[in-house]
Amino acid sequence: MKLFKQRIKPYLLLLPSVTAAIVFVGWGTAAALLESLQDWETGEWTVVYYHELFTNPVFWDSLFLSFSTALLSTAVSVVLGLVVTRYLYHYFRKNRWKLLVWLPMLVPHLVAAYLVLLFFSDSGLLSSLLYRFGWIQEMSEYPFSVQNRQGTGIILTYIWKEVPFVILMLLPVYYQLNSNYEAVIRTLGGGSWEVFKTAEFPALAPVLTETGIILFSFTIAAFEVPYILGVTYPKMLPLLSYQWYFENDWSSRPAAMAVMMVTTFLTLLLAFLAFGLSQRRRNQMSRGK
Amino acid sequence: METAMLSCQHLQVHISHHVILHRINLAVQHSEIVCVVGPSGCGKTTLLRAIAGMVPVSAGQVLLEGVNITRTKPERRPVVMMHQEALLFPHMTVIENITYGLKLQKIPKKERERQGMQMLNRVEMADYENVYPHALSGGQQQRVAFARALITKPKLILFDEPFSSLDPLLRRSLGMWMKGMLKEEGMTALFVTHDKEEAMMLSDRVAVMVEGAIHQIGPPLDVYQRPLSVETAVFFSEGMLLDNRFFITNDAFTITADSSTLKEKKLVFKGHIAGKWLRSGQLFYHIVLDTESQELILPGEATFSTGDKVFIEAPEQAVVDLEEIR
Amino acid sequence: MKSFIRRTMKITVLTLIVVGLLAPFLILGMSSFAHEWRWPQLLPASFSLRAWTVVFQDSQLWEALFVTAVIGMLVIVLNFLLGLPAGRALAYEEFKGKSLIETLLLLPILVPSLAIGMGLLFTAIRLGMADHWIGVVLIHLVPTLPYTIRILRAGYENIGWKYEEAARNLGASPFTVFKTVTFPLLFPSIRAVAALSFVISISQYVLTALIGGGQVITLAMIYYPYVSGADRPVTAAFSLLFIVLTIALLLMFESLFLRSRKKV
Repeated sequence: MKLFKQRIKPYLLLLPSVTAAIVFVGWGTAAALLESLQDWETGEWTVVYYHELFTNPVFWDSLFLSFSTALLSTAVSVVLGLVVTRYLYHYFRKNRWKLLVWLPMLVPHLVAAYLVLLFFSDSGLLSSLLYRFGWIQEMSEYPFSVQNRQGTGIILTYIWKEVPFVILMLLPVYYQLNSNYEAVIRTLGGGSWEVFKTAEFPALAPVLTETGIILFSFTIAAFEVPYILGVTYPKMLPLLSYQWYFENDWSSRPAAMAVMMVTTFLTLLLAFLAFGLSQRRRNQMSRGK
Repeated sequence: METAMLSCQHLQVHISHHVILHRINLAVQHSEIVCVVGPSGCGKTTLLRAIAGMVPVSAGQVLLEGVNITRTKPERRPVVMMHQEALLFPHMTVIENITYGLKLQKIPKKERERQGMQMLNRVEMADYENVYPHALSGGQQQRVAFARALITKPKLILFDEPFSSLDPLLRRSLGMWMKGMLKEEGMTALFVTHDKEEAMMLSDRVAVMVEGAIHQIGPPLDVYQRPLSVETAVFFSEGMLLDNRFFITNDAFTITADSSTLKEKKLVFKGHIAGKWLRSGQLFYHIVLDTESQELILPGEATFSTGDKVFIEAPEQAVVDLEEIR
Repeated sequence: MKSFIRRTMKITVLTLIVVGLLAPFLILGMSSFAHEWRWPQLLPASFSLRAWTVVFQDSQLWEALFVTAVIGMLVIVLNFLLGLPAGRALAYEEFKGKSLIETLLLLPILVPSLAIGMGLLFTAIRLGMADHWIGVVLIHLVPTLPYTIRILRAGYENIGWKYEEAARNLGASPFTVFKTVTFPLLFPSIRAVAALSFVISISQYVLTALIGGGQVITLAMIYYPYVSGADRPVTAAFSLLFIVLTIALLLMFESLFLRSRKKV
């Protein structure tokens, strides 16, 4: 009896959160999927909304913008975060430095988006500075507009917000890394790149993968930042979906759901590919042979 | 005279304004095994790291076969370092780990594997070629790490407490095995340990290091029996220190039960047995002295019980005057 | 020479980081006290409390502040109720299906929350939770719970089960163990969870708008009109409100912790 209790204990502890995850994600996506596959008036099964979606250039433009924005901001954040952590992790042992890194984490994404506007928009601080230096005479001459079709402002916002996130994810790995590995590799004849490649990267890889996936999934589907910094066309996928969802009649609702379903499918596909690869590496190590 | 393999001259290391190494002079001859022994925190690991090039040297120099390598990058020095943990790369197989240094030297794969297999045979691990490190025992891991170091044919191997994470029995047998390998290969080695028995077993000469300075270098038994300073006496030798100046090593003492047999020209101390045990077939007594507030561990032939009053005696000529020697 | 260059580089990079992280707060603060700040003025010409007066005269502000704080705190409580046992189980126990469960628990931040929100809206309406703060609190679990579980799991892994076992062996009840051993040791992680879930909760616009149906007015709801407006000082003051609210919560949390330590 005691043994049985021991054995089901972890499941009992996990039951509430797993239930929450399944109810929210399972129920939510299932309902959205069903709605995207049914005619909005008759309720009949149909794939017409997906067909319309895939032939609609508006959707493709949004998809491309979302995908490139998410990929770029994720890649830059991860690389920058990694470089900063690699060279400065000794400093972050001290609490005041760690607190500093926490600061952007305490700023909501929408406020961060506003900060980017404040600094980099056409009427922003940088623009005023350029005017002072005499490089521009009119606000309209400002060359670094961030509210553009490439989503520059969105990317900048995410980088400012996510680099600290990456640092906080990577710090524990660096603290746990045995610093004598460096002596082993260097005395065997390897330089610092070799130290990174052989000792640090294998330990970092799982966390880097996880962090990358979290950031990508978040940025491709987040609403708040592009709502402030986006342009009317092309819209990021979630904004496109939101717009169709609230259009006058309900005829675009299934299409709005379909947009989110495609986004969901894309992120999950990428996540499983990335996790799968990283898991295979880990299995290889722990199998022993 | 032949140039020494390793020669540290007036080596000094500071770490953020603290003097860690204080004018170290140390020479290791070709094919010699030297053990630096000292209490933890005495700077012995820093000495190894300075020789390997992992910490900047603030004064003095390191010569390898007469060549000044003080400013050479660690990866360019023909010196390898081993640690308490084996630090095998978890994502590489045993053979990949062993041939890692050869790969860095850009030696072709075929040749690497040939040398790797040869080395695996040498360290008696031939069956483990494609095994990942986590499946190996602690001793096996340390042997693979040893092979990984040896295969690059370094001029000098540095060992930082390589056995201290192993259990005591394995520690001794692996130590003797490694010493045998080093001697067969004619390898020069510098060990660092806080375990003086290990130091005596492994080394041709020991160097006693206390608070960043080397106090005495010599064959282990000499250093044990003729300590030249209080620090060496207290840390490396075993015996009784009197007035912080006179020293009697344990092997001069005998334990007796009654004072009637006491002869002249002998020093006698009163004490009682606090505990006893057997080790390697020999009885040992833990004796607490009444006067000197010292404790001694001595082997004894006669059988005493815990709590017995005893006398311990030593011939007068066994007393070493540490100050006079200095 | 080389080490000199390296050190200079390090100091430059550190300075850049400090400036990059701190400057936004300084500028926000300064901007909120500016009387007016227009292009191409580098600094405000004069200062006043105008912006703060405007913000606090917003008829919806006080209610929004209250609603946001209450929702945020409820989200924190729910996160702890669900996250503490989950993090503990993942840290200390090995069991069948662990990696499957780990993946399941990560799903809420992998699947777009907008998809989940849209999908759940009808159900929420049917259950009477839409247009109500209960629904909003529940939906805020989606973007917060995965982070909570991850942080708490790492926290539990860090301290290990040995201290708890020692306390149990000394005769402490499970609750006393949590109060006197686990909670103080886990506090850094607990604080991180509180801060993160609170910030994520108060930042939600689209989930709150969807499930709250425009009836649950939080700060994020009334922030947008200001951002698109041209009055910079007012927007800056409003932006600072978010941060002040978070810091106030953290200070409250810290003082609760200190007081509970004194009682022990």
